[in-house]
Amino acid sequence: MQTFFTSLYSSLISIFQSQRPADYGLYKTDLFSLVGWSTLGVALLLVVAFYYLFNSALRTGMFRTTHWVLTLALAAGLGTLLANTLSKSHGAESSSYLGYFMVVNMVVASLWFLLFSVLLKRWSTYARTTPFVGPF
Amino acid sequence: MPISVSVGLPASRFFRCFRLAGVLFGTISLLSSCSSEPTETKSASSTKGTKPVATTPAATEAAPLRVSVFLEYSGGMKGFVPRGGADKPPTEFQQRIGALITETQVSGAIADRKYYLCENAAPKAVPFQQLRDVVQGEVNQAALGTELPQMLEGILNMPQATQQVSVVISDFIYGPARKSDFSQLPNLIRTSIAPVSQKQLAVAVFGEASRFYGSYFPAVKTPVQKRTLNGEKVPYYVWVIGPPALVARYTAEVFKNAPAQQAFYGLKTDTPAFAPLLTKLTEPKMKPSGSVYGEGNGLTMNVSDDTAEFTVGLNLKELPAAWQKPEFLAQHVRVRLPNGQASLLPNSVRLLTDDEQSGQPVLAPFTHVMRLRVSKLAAPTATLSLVLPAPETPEWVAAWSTTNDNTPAPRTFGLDQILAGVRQSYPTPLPPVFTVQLPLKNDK
Repeated sequence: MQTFFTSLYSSLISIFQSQRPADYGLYKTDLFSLVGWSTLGVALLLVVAFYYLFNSALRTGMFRTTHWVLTLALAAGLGTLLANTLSKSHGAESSSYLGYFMVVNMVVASLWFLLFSVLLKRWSTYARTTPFVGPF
Repeated sequence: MPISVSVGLPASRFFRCFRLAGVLFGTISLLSSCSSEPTETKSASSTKGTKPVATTPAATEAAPLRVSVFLEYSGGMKGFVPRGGADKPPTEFQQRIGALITETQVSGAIADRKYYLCENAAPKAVPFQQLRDVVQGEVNQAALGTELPQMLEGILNMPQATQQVSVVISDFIYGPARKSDFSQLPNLIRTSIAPVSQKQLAVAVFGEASRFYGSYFPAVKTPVQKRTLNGEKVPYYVWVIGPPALVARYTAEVFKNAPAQQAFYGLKTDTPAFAPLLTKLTEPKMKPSGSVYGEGNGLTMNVSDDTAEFTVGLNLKELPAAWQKPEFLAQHVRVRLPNGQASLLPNSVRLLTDDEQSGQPVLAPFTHVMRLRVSKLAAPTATLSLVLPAPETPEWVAAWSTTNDNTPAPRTFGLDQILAGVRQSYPTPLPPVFTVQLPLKNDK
């Protein structure tokens, strides 16, 4: 899974910047998988919260696409935040690479959120068709 | 469920938004507390990623330094050690050698020290005070002396001579009794220091001219057998012989105030602490450029588009003072990279200041930094080596040599031949002083 995260992030970041920073070793050994797992977890948690807490267990009426988009934005924001704080706390230096990592993780967090939404929405009581109907 | 209160007012939407915000805010704080937890546990392991190459400097504690000091005390040496007084300044010899034996006596770097006077072939052990008395001119009678090869042979035949540092202080005037010996000067010296060849010991030679008061016995006996000098300068030498790393340490840590004329043969230091410096640097000039990062105990780089430049740190405190100078290192250090192209950037060798060492902890283990550039890397992996090849006999030796020393001058009879005998004890080229290596990996 570490290799998956490493290749996922490094290939996405290389769209912006092909040069690797001096502390890339840290990204490779620690940060990519740590941030990768955290982001995945956060996205999953938000999806579960949206579909099964607020729209199954509770009847909050927050099933509209607007709510879903807001939650997605939260996931994306948390993704950026996680990439930044976790990297900094593990000794990564402020660099353009870290900036692109934050951008990429924002996108990755949104993608996870979308993926989990599609996978899990059909078992939700009130938000089965948010943000769209189907595919199953 | 109780939270879902349906209020049929337009305000309900507004409140619902608040509820949503509150729930989300709770989630955030929950998540942030989760994410801060692994920070603590992971921080210990994270150091391995940031500090890639760890050739630990202090881990290998050096072997104890055992030193024997041999002072030739023959009639020919007496002139260096006149009995002084308040009105007579000490000779250069007395200043330099007095300081050297004192440093040898008190230095914490030395585990064990012994002192000898060489009056004939077998050195005579003396206490420190007696040696000091000789140096300050308190002892009057001197022995007849022995020929240089016999003296060296006697010193190197001492028990343990090949495992410790022998410091030989003499004028190194070799005037053989048998005239035919003149033709074999280098060979005679080489034979007399046979253990140097056999065990590949190092020899460090320091030369200085000192004022001389008294009888001077030249090697060339015509037109006069001896002259009485009154303050003319003639040379004397300090030879430091022993295992290469110990000679390096003695030279660097004890004989710090050495004269300018120096020659080293077979000198090798222990592998110095060495590492590429990539992260945690505050000086922008030291930061790496290009695509290079530390991985494992080496570097991974991609130099296909742009060259990689990075700073490396070295601890060269064991090199002789003259060799620690940035100019010397810049001129002599060689960078080798089979299957690639690497170079030392001009004017990049420099000493680290105390401020830099204390301000940037990554620099603390090192005395020097230099910047390397890798411009080509053809193979998937390669090993970059940084080598300090041993310099050949320096130029001052020729200037200090003469074929006729009957007229006193700061020249020694056949010094070039004597040192040729030393030089021949080693292979050509001389073995490098140190080699450090850095594994490189090609980043696709």
